[in-house]
Amino acid sequence: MGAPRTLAERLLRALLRCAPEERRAWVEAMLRELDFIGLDSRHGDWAALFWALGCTTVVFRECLSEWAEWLGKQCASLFGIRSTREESKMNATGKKTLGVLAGVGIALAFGVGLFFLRNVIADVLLAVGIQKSMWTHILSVILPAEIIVVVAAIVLWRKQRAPIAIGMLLTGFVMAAHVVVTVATH
Amino acid sequence: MKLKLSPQTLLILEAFLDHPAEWKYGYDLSRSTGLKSGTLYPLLMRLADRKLLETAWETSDPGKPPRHMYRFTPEGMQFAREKRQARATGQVGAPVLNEARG
Repeated sequence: MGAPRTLAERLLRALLRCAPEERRAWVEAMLRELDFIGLDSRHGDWAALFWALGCTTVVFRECLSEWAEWLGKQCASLFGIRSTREESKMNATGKKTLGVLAGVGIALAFGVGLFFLRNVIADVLLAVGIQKSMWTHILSVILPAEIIVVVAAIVLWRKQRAPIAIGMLLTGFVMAAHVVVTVATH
Repeated sequence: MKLKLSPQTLLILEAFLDHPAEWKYGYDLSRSTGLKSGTLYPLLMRLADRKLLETAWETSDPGKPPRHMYRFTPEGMQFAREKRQARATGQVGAPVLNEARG
């Protein structure tokens, strides 16, 4: 047995000792597979080590999620708010509403960020010889922001995050309507 | 509880669908799907947690360490077939495709 395979085995045996109780069988399974990895390959020992490293990340992620859950419970009991488990019991409508609100929040945060950056953008434009006007503001700040919001919404939609996408689009639409009304009244 | 049907999950479902009644090993699944252990095992865990996969220890010869095996439960097989059919009929991307209730 080469050094990498020995290291892999030691790593998984160490993981077996510190893995969460309910995942210990899985770590045992990962360890057992080591005996069959790369038997037909010249680099089998290294394959075994990479296998063990991958398994290590799995166990660490499981541990992290357990700690996060524990921390969440502690915070929930401390502040008297609902735990994550209770949150997961929210009905589908509630989750969708939460998603839409999250989308609105993200788009608003993005808009506020751009609002604070507008002077920087205006200075940059001035440096290249473009005077500050309503149209430069629209073309350099609002239009790119709208495009970013729409593209982000499309990406989120494709990733099955439709409620967040709807929230972002909604905010983008309101922002666009505001611009149109402002331009019309000028 | 929802199961996100990532491309990697679909790969695993397809691998199990090839010979649904057969028990499969982790390393063999890794080789057939091309997934690394760090990706494969969390997915197997989630599928098993949702009772879509059943797991067992191989009863082998004395002195030889047992090996963990996996195969579809009846619900898992039905779920995978439904998803395969949904993809074949072009319903990829529909929200219902990415959800499994466990």
